[in-house]
Amino acid sequence: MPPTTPPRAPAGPRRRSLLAGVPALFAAAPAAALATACSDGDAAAEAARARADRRLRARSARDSRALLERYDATLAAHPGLAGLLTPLRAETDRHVRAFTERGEGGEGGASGDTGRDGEPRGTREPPGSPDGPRPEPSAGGPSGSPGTAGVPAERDAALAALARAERRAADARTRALVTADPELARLLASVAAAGAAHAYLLTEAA
Amino acid sequence: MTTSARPAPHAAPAAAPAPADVLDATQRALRAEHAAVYGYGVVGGRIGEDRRKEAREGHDAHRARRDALHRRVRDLGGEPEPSAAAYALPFPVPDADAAARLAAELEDRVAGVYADLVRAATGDTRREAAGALREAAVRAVRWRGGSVAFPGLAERPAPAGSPGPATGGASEL
Repeated sequence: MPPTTPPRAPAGPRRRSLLAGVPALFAAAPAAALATACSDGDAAAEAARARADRRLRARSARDSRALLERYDATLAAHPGLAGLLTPLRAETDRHVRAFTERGEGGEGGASGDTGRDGEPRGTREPPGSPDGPRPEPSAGGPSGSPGTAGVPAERDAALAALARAERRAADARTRALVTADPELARLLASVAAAGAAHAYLLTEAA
Repeated sequence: MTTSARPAPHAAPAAAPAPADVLDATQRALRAEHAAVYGYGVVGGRIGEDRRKEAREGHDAHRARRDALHRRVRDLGGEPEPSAAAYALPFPVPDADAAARLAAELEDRVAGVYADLVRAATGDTRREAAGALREAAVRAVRWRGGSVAFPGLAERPAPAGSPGPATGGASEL
């Protein structure tokens, strides 16, 4: 587990101010790191937790990649939405990188390879995964361009579909984080919050 | 409520205290909500008529969160940190635009403490903290007009030049 992030220490003398950073008086040691005297049982449990963490990161990365593909497909079908969608897509890309940055997200790391080049996704879970925002099939088009299949032709419907996908992903992450390891839970909560904010913006624009 | 600017120190918990980190993270969240309640009072005083209702809703929501955290600290065996009588604002708030910026800033900071509380907590406390983070992120976007990639994560700031707020704050505000 990575060490906790550095505390936001106040710069000058401490004043009672509205939004001062608070020094971390504790090191929020992830629960997984607290095992000391390991019996075989402890080691096995620890290994199981590490596996579960990797799987959840991989699933989260896949879900974010699926959202990324939706953004690309929607942008291809509705270029006039670029002003709204491009920043949201960029944030989604950062989410993918955050879930894969220790090389544990599967599918070869950061999302240089989105649906843009039509690269097949051999390691995808079968369709019908319970809580991912699966795009419609053939959202990745022939080589050279993202497909637009599955994106509603009408602008507002396309935005609503994206918003629904973001909301579904956010809800899934919110469920998953409850039992995740601490650092991943924090990341999932943030990404879920970002997704909810995206859904809000997409809904407002429709 | 004390008139001094210094909060009363919170007593060490007595029997069966919660792990120090979750109690501490909860106190920090409470501290941030006290500041948010105060800050939204300022927002309400300066915000334009068109957003007054929104400001009131934000104010109410943060009061409710503050009260819930107050109870939660007690449940954990701690002494809830009181609000200060007043807080220094991070920047002057002379008009409606500044008031909206202040509201966004308040939500960003609240998001930060809830992200940390998610990490420190488990079960229902974690679930609630995640919900509070989500609400803060959506409110921040409403006030600011644009989103950020990682609400609440100071170590993952928006890229320079983007419309996101300058978080990651060592800034003494």
